[in-house]
Amino acid sequence: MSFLEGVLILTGIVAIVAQGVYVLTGLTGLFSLGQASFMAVGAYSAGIANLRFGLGFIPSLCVGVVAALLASFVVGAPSLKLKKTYFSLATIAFGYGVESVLNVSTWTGGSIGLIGVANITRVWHVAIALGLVLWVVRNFKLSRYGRACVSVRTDETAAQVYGVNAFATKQMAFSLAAALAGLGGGLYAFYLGYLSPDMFGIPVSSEYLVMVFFGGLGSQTGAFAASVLLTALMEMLRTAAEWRVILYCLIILITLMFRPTGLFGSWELSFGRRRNGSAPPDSPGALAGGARK
Amino acid sequence: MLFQQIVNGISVGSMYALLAVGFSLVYNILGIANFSHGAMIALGAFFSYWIARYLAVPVPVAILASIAFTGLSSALVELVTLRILRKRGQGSLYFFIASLTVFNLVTAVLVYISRGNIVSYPRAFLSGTFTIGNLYIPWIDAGMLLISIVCLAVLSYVMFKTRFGLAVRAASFSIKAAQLMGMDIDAIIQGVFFVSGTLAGVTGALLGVKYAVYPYIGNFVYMALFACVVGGLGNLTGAVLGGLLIGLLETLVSAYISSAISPALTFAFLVVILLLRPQGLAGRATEEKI
Repeated sequence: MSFLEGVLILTGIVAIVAQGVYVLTGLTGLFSLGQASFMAVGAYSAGIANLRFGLGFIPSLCVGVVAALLASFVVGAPSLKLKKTYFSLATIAFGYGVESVLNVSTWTGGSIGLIGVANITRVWHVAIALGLVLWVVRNFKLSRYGRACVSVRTDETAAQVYGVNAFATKQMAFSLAAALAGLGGGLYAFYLGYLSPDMFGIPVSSEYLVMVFFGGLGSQTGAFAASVLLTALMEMLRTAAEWRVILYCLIILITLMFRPTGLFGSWELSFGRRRNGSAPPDSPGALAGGARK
Repeated sequence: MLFQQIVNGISVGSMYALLAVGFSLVYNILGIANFSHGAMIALGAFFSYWIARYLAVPVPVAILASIAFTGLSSALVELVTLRILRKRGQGSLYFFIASLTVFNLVTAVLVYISRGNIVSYPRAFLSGTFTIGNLYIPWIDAGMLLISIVCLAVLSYVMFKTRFGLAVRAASFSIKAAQLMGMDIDAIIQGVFFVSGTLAGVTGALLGVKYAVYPYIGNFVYMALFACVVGGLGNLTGAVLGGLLIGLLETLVSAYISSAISPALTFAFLVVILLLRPQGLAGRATEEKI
């Protein structure tokens, strides 16, 4: 596999997970620091299904997605009833829990990791998956469920007054994000061929969150562009390994300070049909205003 | 054995309590988690190590100097991120992301400088143990407990007996009202960041002495977070209580079950607390939180 192929696959996987974060944070206004842990759940489940039960590529990926979905219900049921800050804290705790279980369990290979997963993922697999994900997320955003998410983000009480089930809406966004993270994780497992717990820590989750912010909270295009740009940047700087995280953080801080709406704000790439009108109102300013004390 | 572990847990817990209090102070005013607290922990550990090592001063002096440094760094972070965001009218949510990035940035810089090495102090400080009955107590544990008690006493004096403390409490109640009463809210917020930075600095330096100095030491900030939630976010007494409880739980689980599984059990404990008492152990139920 050539270097370019590797970069493309990695970029695609990051973009898939980032789309999930967009749904959760951009649309619904929930901050999760557990997305990488859902990725871990998906990756490890797919890897174990392949390694220990001999399932094929596609069935293993499905196992990974289903496992991440189940985990999202287990985590979401208690934590989504809470205020948003508390929810974020619960996802951090979830991240810690997953990492420690992965480190201890002999089934997942402990701290050494899961070694010997088949090396299957190719660029076209990731391209198809990414295309599907972009299509699903775009339609989700424009559907009544997407609008329900936006209404929960801007004012939860008002949304409930208008008959939106806030808890169900948040759970739906959370599960969709988890499923996408699980899919990304599965593809990642079959790309690398081995997994270790420290690939999926809280810092990784925070990178995804920051990535979506960088692209512009209100914009699906922004989330996609940011994941491509930042992953490509990280890979190009691979020779200067020690500097790249520093540079990455600085770029994000500078963007945040001087262009707080992110690269794209709430601008969307559109293909003509929906140019005027029915897109849901979207402004990151409303998000910040809703949460200001 | 059990008492031994309890003593150990209380001293670790007292460190978490200090962290949680510093974290809570900022949360009270801004209503948002300040992750640059983790950066201050790491800076505290590294500053005091560097000062002790390269300036060859006694460790306590190094720790004192590093506390001043972290306080100033914390105020500086406030000045270059939060201040600008607030002046532009951006919400505290943006600061949440900024503080997370500051944390990642500082960790990355420290990884770069230390080349990922784990180092310990050149000279022994508070090493060895003393005995009470049949309990063996490491001096560092006793020192940590003592120092945190002193810090908390000073903090409660500042919070409840000084003008600054009164201003902070007023601003925590409502920033807008405090501004209308003619308070300089920028100065108050900066002061709170300074105080919270010094608390993180003390803890970082002491944790560095007890364990070792390494770039990821800032991850202790998550323990502070858990402690805050367990005790009730934005409640200073609760933060102390939560810190002690988390420290005890962690130590006991590590001693009797397994040290690797203790984060998972801490998570389970947190979920139970959130389900049964979302307002925390010491918090009062309010409309805003549940």
